[in-house]
Amino acid sequence: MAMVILRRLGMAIPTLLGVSLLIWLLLSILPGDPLVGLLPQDATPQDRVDLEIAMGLDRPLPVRYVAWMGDVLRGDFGYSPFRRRDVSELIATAWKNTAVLAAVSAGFGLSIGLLAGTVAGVYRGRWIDRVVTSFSIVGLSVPSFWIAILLLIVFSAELKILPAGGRADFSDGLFNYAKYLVMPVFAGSLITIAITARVARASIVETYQAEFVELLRAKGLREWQVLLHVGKNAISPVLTTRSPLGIWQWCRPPRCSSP
Amino acid sequence: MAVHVPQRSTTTNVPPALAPGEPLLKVRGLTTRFPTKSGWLTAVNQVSFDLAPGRVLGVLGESGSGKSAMLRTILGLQPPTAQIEGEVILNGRDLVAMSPAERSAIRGSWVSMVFQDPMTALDPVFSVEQQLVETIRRHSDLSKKDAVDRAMELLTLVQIPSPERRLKAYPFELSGGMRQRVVIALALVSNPTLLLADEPTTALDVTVQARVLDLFRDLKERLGMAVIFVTHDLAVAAEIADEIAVMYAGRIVEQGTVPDIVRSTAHPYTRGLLEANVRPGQLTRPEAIPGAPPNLAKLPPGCSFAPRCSVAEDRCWESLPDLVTLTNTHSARCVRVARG
Repeated sequence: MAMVILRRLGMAIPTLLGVSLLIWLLLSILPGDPLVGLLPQDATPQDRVDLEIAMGLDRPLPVRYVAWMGDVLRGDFGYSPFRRRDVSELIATAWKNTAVLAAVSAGFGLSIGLLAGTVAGVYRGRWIDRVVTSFSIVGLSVPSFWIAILLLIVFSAELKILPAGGRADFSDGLFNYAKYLVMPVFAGSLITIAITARVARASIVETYQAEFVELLRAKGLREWQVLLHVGKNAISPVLTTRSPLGIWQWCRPPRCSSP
Repeated sequence: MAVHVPQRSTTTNVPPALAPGEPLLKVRGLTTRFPTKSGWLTAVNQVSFDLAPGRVLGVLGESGSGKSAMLRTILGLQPPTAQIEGEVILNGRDLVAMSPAERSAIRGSWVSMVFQDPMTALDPVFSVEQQLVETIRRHSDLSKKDAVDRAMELLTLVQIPSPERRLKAYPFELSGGMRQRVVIALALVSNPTLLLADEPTTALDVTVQARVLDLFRDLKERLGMAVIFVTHDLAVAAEIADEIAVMYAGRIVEQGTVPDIVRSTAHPYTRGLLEANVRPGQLTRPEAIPGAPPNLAKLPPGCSFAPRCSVAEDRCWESLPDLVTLTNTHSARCVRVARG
């Protein structure tokens, strides 16, 4: 088990490296000169060259990437001249809110998506299936920032029941804490709900076609018992596609090709 | 090691007792139709037969002759879109007229089924123990612990070596023959009065096939249940069955005891099946039946076999021949036998 977790985590390393390289390259390719905003209006070309050398921007791209990566691995994320603070400090103040928002959004999105997808899969072809399928298309197509604006207009500006921004501390009580999370979580998890519902529905529908389902019915099992079997079989592909690290791999029983 | 024969007393859903001489299963005019784009497809067409307790009926036919569809109709596994007519009277109760809930309670207790492909019949993410125990507890009041003991008994009954180890295994850890034994054990949970077997040896290796056939015979003797054994293999049917029903295009075309079918063959289709079989020592090429089975959505008005029959006459195309009784055990659906 520990080996599996280690191997899974190990597989994340090349992914992270690739992502960092890609984003880093994109920033270098994008038009716009970072020095323009930093230099005073009356700067001479010599000032510009000096600053370039001081910031190390005169070095070739690969050297700059390796130097930056080396710093990051040693825990030094660098200094932001625009914000005039260390990057690690910027991350430190923001990461907790981001983490809470991301975790709650993922949990909410996954559970609602699974529920909706399962209901649609069980009642495939019926009206409830069509409702879920239509909603998941809407959820995928509508940009979340637009939903966020709509939510702000309705619940903050008009109804005045939810705060438009800011955050509360845990010490303010769970209710107050949650109040600030409702709209961002909803807007942020809409796509997760939509994708999870679609994948779950497809997986459930496919599993119902499996031959073992006929045997379950031949054994006389009740339909909810059949659903338990179908659900357990259907959930592995759903969670594997929904979690980059394949967390579910740990909890499902071993399955491999026939001996 | 003495094999413990399961006691029916553990079952909550006990079928009513049969009157002496009463058949266990009476099928009357059973018809199953499926809706298709080109109209209704008649998979099972006016099938009638009786089966006495403890007897084995072999159902013989090509792919698509309605053998499996008939078993699924008897068990009540057809999709709700299927149209089902006729009667299936098991232990004196008409299964077709039952509510879905009643039927589901009877499935796996009075009547159960063994499927063709053991590789796909078991749920891959549940252990053998879980799959057995849930079935045992569905049909009895046994506690979890007693159900596990019962599961052990069943694995022993189907002659699985070191059953205590297999109990904890997942299906992928077992061989095909072993899995089929587990599927059989699942069917025996409540000591059914009727066992439906849908080509249970077809997907297995020949040697495993022979052993599973032996097991069927042994279980039938020991438990006294009646069996409907569907197969496309005449040799298998002749070996295991007391009676044989030959199906063609959803209808029974000939029915009789094994000697009736094999020695006094009456229907040209049955004769074709016999000739397509290789006998030991045979040096000539077996004779295949020309043509292919008809489209079940567009059956011809006359005998369904007429287009492929080498001895068909004009009247064969006109109307469907009746099932003609030849002796009190033997009947056939052919105009030529009616003439005598």
